[in-house]
Amino acid sequence: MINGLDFLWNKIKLGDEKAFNSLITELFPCLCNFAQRILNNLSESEETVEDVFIHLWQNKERINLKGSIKSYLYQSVHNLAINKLEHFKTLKFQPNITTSQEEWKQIHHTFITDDAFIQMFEANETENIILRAMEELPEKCREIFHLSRFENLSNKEISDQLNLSQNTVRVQIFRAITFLKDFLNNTSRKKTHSL
Amino acid sequence: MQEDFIIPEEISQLIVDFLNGSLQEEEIKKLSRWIAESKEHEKQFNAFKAIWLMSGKSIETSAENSEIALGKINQKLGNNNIRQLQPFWRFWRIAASWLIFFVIGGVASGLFMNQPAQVKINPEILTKITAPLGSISVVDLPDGTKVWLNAGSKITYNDSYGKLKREVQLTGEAYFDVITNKHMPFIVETSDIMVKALGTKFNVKAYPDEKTITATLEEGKIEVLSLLTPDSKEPIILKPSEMVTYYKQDKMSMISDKKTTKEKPVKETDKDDKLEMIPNIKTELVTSWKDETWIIESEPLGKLAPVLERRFNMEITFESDEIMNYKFNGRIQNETIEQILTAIELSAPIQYRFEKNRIILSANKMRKERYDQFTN
Repeated sequence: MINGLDFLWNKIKLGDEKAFNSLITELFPCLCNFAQRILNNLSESEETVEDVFIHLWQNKERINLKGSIKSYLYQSVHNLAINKLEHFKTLKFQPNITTSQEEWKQIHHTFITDDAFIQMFEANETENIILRAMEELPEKCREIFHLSRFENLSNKEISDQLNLSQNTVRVQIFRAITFLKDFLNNTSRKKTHSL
Repeated sequence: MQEDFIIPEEISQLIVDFLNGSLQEEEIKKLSRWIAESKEHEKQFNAFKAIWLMSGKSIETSAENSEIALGKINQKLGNNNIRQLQPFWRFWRIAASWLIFFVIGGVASGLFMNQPAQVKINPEILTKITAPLGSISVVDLPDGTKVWLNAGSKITYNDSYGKLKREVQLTGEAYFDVITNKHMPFIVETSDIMVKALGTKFNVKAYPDEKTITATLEEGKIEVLSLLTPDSKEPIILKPSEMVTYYKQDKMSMISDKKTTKEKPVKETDKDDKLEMIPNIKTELVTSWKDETWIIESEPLGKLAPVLERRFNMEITFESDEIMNYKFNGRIQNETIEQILTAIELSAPIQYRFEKNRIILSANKMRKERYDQFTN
């Protein structure tokens, strides 16, 4: 299936600068949004996406896509963001990753951003569904998940703040994610994709 | 798909630690081995990761940012003749937006980090003044208006201040003593509300990590307007000793504060504007932070703690929630944090200890029993 973006990609491969600019204009916002959710820092995210586009242009002759251009770009942004995360000073609670660095990278890179994921990620309703699901979480569970995901607190910091054991914090976060996952699957079952 | 696939508890904890960045080094191998064990494990793990990514805070990148990025990308690719495609003026516009901000008297970074969408293209000179944590700053603005900045707060204004208009942006808390100028109102802009004055003395408190913004009038007259309020609506006009509280309500906090927002004393009819007027305020309780004698009156410890944190640049942690409700009165002059904590310890069944750079407050059970006997 060839869509508009893949058509642009074919022109880019031939050195069409206008097509390249159109691709950037089209995809820059959603790729930034994606990078932001990994890096939690807007300017770092924008820089990451810029670097991905620069790499794309410089290697346009060599790149042979298996899937769509969009999923290639998402995967590139994902991988580059992960590499940055590694050096990120603000990631205060990622302990000195030295010996296990390879494994750590490996775990991160197992993730594949295929078209199904992108479609779900970009759908406006996904965000609404997640917000709705969060409202249904038990209060403590929601509070803990909120602190973890949105306030960027580590398990330790949450357990200190709420006076709970770290294990309770972990169990509650896991419960929240499982609940969101099931909720999203049930809501979108009729639509094609499930996780 | 195996719906009923059960992840062992140990692994589920590793996944959580991984997702929020708390995974310990020795555990990385364990998780990686589990993922590699089977396709199903990998799939499960990826599903959790997907949910984690999807539930993150979404950020709107503006069209303007896309255009700036487009320029930067093409600039970096300068070796290619792609540059010829760029109209000349666009380069200047982009260059201008990056170069022409002078930042005076403060930390240079961070100002636009949070809100790059608001970077304006037209060149202007911004002045930014920050009071570091642990101290209060007094600032004279170009027109003679005096500003007391509480610890950790900042104000910014541009070079047209005092010439065309008098506008400042505030994050944190400040007390303003405004020079009268009937032709040019003095405007304080915060994240959610705007305060307009001609010549008065008032206090505005707008810390990003607090759920409310307040404006309190000591002398004269001010107008308070929520930035979300439609133009047609009249601003709230404050008389001396009145205070306005604005309840912030972003998408996320609405969810986590569902309970508290229901209980807040705003009438149902006022639902749209979240401004609440409170008359007969003892203004010295609100404004005394700037003076030598800082007065507190029946202030719950839970509210006092963040103020102390900023004033002394220390972190305060509660070991139990109940002690947050003890209320305190007092006058603080040049006391050290230790002296204040000792006073708290003496007047309530609370004990404190230092751990690294942190203060830990906990309940003193033995003394609590005696305390309860007295108070009942």
